[in-house]
Amino acid sequence: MKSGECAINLGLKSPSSTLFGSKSANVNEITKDVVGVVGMPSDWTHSSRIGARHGPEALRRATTRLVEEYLPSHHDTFFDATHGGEWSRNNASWILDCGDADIDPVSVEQTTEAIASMTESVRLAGGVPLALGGDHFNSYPACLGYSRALSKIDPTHKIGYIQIDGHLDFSDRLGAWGHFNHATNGRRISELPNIVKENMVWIGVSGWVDGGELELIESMGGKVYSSGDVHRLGAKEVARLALEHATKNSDSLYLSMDIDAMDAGYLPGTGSIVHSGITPKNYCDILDVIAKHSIGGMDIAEVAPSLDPSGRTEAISAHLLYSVLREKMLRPVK
Amino acid sequence: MSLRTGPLPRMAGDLTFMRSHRGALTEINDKSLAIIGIPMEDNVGLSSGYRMSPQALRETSVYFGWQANPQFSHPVDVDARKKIDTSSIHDRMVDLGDIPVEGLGRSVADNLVSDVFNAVRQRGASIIALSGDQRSVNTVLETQANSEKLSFIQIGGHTPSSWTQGIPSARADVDSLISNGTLLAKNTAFLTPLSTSPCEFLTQYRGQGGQVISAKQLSRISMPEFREFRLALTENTDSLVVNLDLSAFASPLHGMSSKRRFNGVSVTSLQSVMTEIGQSPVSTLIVTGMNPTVNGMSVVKTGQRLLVTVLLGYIYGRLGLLTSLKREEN
Repeated sequence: MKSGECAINLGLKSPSSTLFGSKSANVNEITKDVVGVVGMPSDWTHSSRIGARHGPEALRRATTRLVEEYLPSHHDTFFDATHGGEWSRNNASWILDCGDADIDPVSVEQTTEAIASMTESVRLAGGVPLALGGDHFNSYPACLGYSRALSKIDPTHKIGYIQIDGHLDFSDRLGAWGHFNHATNGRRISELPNIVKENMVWIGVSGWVDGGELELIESMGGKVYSSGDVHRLGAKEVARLALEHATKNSDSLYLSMDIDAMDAGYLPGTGSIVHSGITPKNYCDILDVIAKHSIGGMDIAEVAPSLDPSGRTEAISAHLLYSVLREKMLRPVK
Repeated sequence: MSLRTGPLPRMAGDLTFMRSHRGALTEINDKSLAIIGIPMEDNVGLSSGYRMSPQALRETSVYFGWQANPQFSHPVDVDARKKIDTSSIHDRMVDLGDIPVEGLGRSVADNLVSDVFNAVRQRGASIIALSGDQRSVNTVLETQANSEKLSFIQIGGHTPSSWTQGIPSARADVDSLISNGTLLAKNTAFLTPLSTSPCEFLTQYRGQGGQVISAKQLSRISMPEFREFRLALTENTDSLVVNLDLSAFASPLHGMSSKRRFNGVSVTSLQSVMTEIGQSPVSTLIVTGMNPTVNGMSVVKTGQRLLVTVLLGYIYGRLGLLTSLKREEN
């Protein structure tokens, strides 16, 4: 694990960013309801266009810039032009960056355990794990740790699941990558004992998919809202329906955000691009609705800054995190 | 028969379009869909690099080679929910490779393209030509027009601009083929062209029965209406040649065409149209207009993803595996 805190406050910035410029901490410093950030700099489980191993670093860099831009330290209150209202910074320690998990590029098992042990520790401490990919396979170990923690806290606990993604990621295996890769994370998560399969929901799936996977999801009671559904019904309505389905018989919600649900015209810096027509605004609208509900654990995956020379992929992804964490980050001014 | 029976890394192996089998000319027949690369372009000026398109399209297409991967069940469009049985694709889709035009002068290269197309058409196969820029289109049309009465649809790209002057441009646009009678205007159409045509062209062209359908109109047309349009267009012709140019899409979606536009057609709309076009006896589909070497775009690959996604609808339609992408409501 890394620790990048700059100890002396002379207005200097640490060259090693943390998410939203938060304090660096060890996982054992997490307390109740604090978001515990876990980096997963691994893309060895992506089958083609790698680069997402730089995702955690890019997200930390971009969210730090976002805070400097949106919430400059010399202002106490801020007007939110998108959502309206006046807000102030939440000065309580609502987020701690626990650094990166130890990634073993030749052992998917060791990588899985390294990530899972961190998200498990965060949740056992009462925190909310937020895991930064990495390719989307890493969502599985992130959710695995969350699942293990909840099994220990309450063996009867049931988890609902929402995956915002251009793909289903529900293959049982993929070529030489076997059962553990960026096309199987949804399937592996569905096999966790406290995930309620019929509460699993996908949002933003686009184009041609494996028919067998789609049939399997729907036969187990899961829901798939395509990018076409987002355009037909509206992003907020799809999010409302998804949330309703995912939380029906569950005690908590896990959210997995793959940035490739968005159209590659907006956001090309990701391993498996689609042309969904889903805009960053659509994605933020979805997150605005989901963020109103309590999210127990989450991850964001497939930010590959080296695949987008323009740099907008990491900037948009940072804004997604801002959307989903805005209510923790800010307090309304009375 | 699957191409292979065990899992392989996704990008490994011989690079063929959609993991189709690499074949020789002697293997194809009137049931075949032949893939031919034409790595050719007017490679002067600031926008060279289109000749790299055939390889780039093949690279992206391997993601969709379901028929060659025993681990996948069957492809289905997530909205249309229609199963595609890909079991016949391996036998019918044959990648013949690229025509070796590199380093040749224009007329020699054109002759070589003509020879290959003549040979393939003599065997009755339908062709998907992965080409560079649009300069290959006239060569193909002139070649096929020698033995077939053609209809022609161009999707994206410019409408002919030299019509009224009566002076064929240096690139010998399609209008010269209409002017000299190789094509009849009433058997041709321009779908979602860029908005650069002089009014005189449109008046004269439409007066002779030619049709221009804008991106907005194409997005609103129903597929039964498009079918009527397509049947009328191809009436009394032997086969249809289609040119699909990347500039059919809005430039901000891909950034890989030198033809800039902001009012293109959506991938969903165009995929439906291409599926419908695939129902007709298309002899050749020529894919053009993508430059994978534009600065920075070699890693982004958005243009090839757009084109290959749209091609899937056409291929499934042409092989008789899919009639439309409209979802049948229960």
